[in-house]
Amino acid sequence: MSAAPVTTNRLAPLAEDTVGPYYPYSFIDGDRSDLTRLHYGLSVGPQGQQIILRGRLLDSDGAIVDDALVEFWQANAAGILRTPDNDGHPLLDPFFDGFGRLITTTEPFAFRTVKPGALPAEGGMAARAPHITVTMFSDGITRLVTQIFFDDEPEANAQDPLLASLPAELRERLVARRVEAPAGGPAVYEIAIVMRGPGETPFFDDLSS
Amino acid sequence: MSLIIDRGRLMLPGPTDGAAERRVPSERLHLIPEAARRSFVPWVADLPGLKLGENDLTRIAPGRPQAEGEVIEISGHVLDEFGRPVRNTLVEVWNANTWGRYTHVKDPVRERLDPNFLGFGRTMTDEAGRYRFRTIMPGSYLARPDIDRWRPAHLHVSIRGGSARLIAQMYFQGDPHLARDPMFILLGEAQARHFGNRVGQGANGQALYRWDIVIGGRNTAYFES
Repeated sequence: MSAAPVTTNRLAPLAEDTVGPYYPYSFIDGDRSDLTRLHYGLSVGPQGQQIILRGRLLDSDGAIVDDALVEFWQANAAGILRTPDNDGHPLLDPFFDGFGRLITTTEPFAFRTVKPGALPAEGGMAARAPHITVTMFSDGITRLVTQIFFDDEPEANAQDPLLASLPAELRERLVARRVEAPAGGPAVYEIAIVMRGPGETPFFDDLSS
Repeated sequence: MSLIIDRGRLMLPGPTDGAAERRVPSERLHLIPEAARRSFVPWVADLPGLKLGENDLTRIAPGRPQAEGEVIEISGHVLDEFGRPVRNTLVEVWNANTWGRYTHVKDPVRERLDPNFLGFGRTMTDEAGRYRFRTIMPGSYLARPDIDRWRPAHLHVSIRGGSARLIAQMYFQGDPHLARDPMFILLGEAQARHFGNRVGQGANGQALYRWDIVIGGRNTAYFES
């Protein structure tokens, strides 16, 4: 755990709070649940294999949590994150920025995107297996964060430092399974994100880490 | 009892919220190994274009009638823990109307809707990290009629853009319902930072509040490109 540097002029942050039950649906103005389609009618789009991440956000009763705000962050198909330090990177995809957002309903959610590439090792950081960072907000919780991996990447998953940091029995809870899907369409992966209780998904602390 | 240093925070369910009891993880959060941290820091450059008047919640659109209730104006800075401005970031706000009702399909029918009030707006911080919006003083409301628990007047903000991400509430000093509000009580020593500070009166009689929004954590530091 990295301790905060001790300074006298550091500002105390606000406390994170729940989004509550009545946050505005205008949060998803500009649909970000499909990152493969830039805009209706445009014939260009991102490079890479199109996939659908189908997920169920579940509570401790096994019920689907609706009205949750779910945000996604991922690398492009070449494994490059669109961050300021990657400005001008030759493998950036002009038609992919990697940020998605949707609000859940009583049905499983479907996030359509391209399969992220493995992140190359750079600047002292380890290589990473392909993954999508998922952030959740809903009534009853403050921000929860985790990362979702893919079951058809066993070699990369075995080397991933985040999966390796977890007890073995928790790792598979972060791995989405590829399921049967209509030929010619996007590959479909399924994941259950269990907020609490048996089979609880591991969540990560990006404030204390 | 020894100090746990190899695990992250334990999230605690609020004392009266049934959703929390079913949704807050029972296990401690896991720490992120430094070698894996990079991809936990999102960078959101794709922000919606704003329409004229979206930071003025007192009217549904410019030229429409003013909503019922007291007009208030809230401004301040969005800053990281080192006092650096969080520039060009999206600030989304939402609050109940003057009678304490949200214009939201799931808000149980208790109080009146105001046809001239939607109660959500958004704005962007400028180059100095400043934001400003105008809204109606939110009413307090009876959140739990079964146990007579009220929510004090408050408004919600969401900060998104660059690598900053925060959802928080602002309260008003002197509200009689603060003392029994579990969400306010749980803020503990952070309570004072969640009050908007009354700083005077504007030219049109609106009450002016200052509220600086400080975002914690290492993620926010990514914003300097």
